[in-house]
Amino acid sequence: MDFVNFLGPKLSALISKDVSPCKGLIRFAIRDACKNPNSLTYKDIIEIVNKELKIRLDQVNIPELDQVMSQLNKIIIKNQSVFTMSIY
Amino acid sequence: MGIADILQITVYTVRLIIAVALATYAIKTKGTNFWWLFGLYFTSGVFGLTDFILQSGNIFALSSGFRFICMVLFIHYTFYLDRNNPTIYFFIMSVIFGIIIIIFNILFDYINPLELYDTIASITQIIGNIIVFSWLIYSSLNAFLNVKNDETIDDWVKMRYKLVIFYSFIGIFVAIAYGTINFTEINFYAIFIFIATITYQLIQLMAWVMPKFLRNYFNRHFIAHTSSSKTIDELSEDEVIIKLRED
Repeated sequence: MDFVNFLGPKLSALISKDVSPCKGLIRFAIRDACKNPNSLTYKDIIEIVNKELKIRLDQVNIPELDQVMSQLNKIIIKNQSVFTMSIY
Repeated sequence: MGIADILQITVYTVRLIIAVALATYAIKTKGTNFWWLFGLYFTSGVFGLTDFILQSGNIFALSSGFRFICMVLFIHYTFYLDRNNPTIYFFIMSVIFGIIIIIFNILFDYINPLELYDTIASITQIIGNIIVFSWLIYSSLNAFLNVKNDETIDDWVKMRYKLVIFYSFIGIFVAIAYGTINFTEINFYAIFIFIATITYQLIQLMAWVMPKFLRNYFNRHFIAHTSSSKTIDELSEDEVIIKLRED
């Protein structure tokens, strides 16, 4: 499953920005983490979101970043099985 | 060797084949959860075949507790990482049930072979299976309902949830049948349960080690949906930053 397609719209709703740049930002965060986007595990995703993506969001001055991060983490944890179920 | 023996060997051999497939899959995908499913199938296959070869009737029961634990940890690693969950209670239940099965099916049977002891062991095994499979059904159904209308999730992933729910129901049925029906002779029920067992195992294999053609088939509508929107997502780094800094 494409993690970028999954998380992009959720991030977009949280920070009230267009979906496309949000997907782009996630794609760059994965690239920053030097991970293969096609074989991300749940642990990889949690790490990327809380490190590389957080840095990227901070760089574009997203307001109330801690709250956004907390919501993003909740979404990922709640949907954890999507990542474990979608590996192949 | 009678038909009953052939059916028994087939069931255990299929379990070992599935175990090998799951191990390969776990290595390839780095999925911790699949190692627990592998553990379940491997022990089940090895203990089952040993039981059959030695004609013991008790060896397979030895692995019951461990198989419950494998299932519980598989569910935990698939659905409940980093969140409050009842895994510890299911784990303790598995250990207790495993011990009860060993005590009544092996130790008491050895000291004083009363049918009552076998019955207690069988009932414990049935209850254990019902509880663990019900938890799997609950977890899968809950997760599925969460993602059912999410268009960003591949259709084949949604199908995987459905298959897990489906095979768990068959798993409960098979567990009850094995605990209540005597398979020493071939009859309609024995054949029916054999078919149900093989179906259960094959659906489980299909769910977790889904072949590419099936994945593509289940995903046929989803692929069309994503490919049409792909070009607008491929923005350059500068474009992304500019767009996000805009009000």
